[in-house]
Amino acid sequence: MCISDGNLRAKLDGELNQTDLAQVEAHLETCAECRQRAAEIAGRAARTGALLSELSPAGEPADAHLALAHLKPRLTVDRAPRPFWIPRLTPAWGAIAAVAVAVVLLISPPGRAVAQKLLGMLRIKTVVAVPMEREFIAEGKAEMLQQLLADAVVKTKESRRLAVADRDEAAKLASMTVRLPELRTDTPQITVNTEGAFQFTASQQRLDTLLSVAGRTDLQFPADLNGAQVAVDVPASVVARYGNCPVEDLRQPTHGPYDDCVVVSQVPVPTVVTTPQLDLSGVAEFGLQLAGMTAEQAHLFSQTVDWTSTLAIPIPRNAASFETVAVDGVQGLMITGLADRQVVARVGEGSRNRVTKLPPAYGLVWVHNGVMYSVGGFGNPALAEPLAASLR
Amino acid sequence: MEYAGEATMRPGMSALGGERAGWSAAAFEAVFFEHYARLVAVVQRVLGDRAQAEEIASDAFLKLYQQPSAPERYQNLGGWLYRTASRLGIDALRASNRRREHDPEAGERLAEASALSGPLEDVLRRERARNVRSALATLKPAQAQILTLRAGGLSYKEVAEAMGVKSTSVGQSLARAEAAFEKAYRRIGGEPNVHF
Repeated sequence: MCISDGNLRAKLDGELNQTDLAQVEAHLETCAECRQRAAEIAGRAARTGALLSELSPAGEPADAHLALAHLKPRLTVDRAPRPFWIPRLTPAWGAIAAVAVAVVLLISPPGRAVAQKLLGMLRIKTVVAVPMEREFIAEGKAEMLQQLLADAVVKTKESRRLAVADRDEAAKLASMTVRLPELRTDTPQITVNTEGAFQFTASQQRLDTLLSVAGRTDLQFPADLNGAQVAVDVPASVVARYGNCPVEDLRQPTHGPYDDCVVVSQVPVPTVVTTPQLDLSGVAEFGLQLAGMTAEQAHLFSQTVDWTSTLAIPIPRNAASFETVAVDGVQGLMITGLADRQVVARVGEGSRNRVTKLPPAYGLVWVHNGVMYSVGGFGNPALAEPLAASLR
Repeated sequence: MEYAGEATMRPGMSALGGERAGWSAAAFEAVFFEHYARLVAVVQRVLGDRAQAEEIASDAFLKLYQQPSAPERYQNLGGWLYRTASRLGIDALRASNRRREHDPEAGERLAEASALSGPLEDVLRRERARNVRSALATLKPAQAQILTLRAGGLSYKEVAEAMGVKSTSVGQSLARAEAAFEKAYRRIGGEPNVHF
């Protein structure tokens, strides 16, 4: 019996098993017709192979790290429709990693000191606004960076979000004095995010990827950043929501209007432990450039700030304005006109996500007695200061 | 990054790094790093466009991530990915081929662009590559798929997994696909560049 085309073809590719191969070879010895057919098949295979090899992709293998960083935001669906002036408190590391700049500020140099003890400690005392190019945020680059960095983060203590009945329970659970605005007489929904901690180690590869995601291959991380370590501990935080606010759990429908929504959050400032000889202003300058400042602007800006005690809050340059205001006996940062936050909401089981826009948001952020507060909402921004002043 | 891109996600999916949907971040990344570069290469072969190939490879991973079943049910993740990505690639190729047919000037523009950019042999090579792609676009998708997967260096076993067929039938399918390809290539007017 003659050999099938399939087996003749498979023989060419060395894909026949021993038994079949022996059989085929034995048969070919004796069958001129099969030899003829084998030659035809071999000729076609070779010609086709040669033509298809014309399509060989040129260039370097694709960069999987970069691709993954781009892909990850698309995988994200539990995206909290939280205005980003509310410090991200869950998961724990998010408080600092609200966006890349804030995180970048925390990446400490020197790899040469990997073996050294981590002794430097940062204590945030003030907040400062960093104007960012809007594109940086709109294109999701900040998100990509955050995702990218999140990978390198090892959570040493997982924060959990717990709904509590009232202020007393929140205070007990969070071990802190909880202050609420007396101007609001309605009952807030209060949640406590328990303490969380994470560690971050910078690797050169990740930093390089980070730069290409940001489209800033013109920048360069200090070389000895490789291997730098940062440990962050975020104490328990309390978030009180008044009125109708966009829900963070996307499995629930969310409906405006949000005019009466006010969110008050408070968290003892996170501790950041890192290498002692941290050149924070250098790293900060880098982060500022990443966010769209020129080298000169970044340098000037960086000189005005004590980075060991400052949390940088990125503000979209064209979409929001900010000013420093006196609040609670300290300098606070008032941000208004955050108009372009989108909500992905799922309305009803099995239905598709809905993309809507949040109304313009405002936020007031300050640090008082070692606690970082924020008051924000979607209604009249003029209410922020009175609300803040009424915290008891 | 538009949020609208997530519109097809189902309830119950979670962000990578979350704990649900059967994918742990580590498991998904492992699969991604194992297959991504080769997947791009396979699709790039078909399309000749790196950026588009990367996009399609990523789309394939996105589809994988969105599969309702737990990942352990997919014995052949690689096979599934190659099947999905190569099919997406061939669909895109056929679509662009149709566009070219309807827009004859596009071909001329392409030829002009080619002629402007490089020595004669490069131009000829590009011309040949274009004919090969046109020929692939006229084949049955499964035949185009098996040719490109094999040209991408997949073994019969891998091809079989990707195509959802028995590995003993790969030789037969391949032989038929090659015959069909040669016919299509001649019809388009391309000449074999190798003679035996």
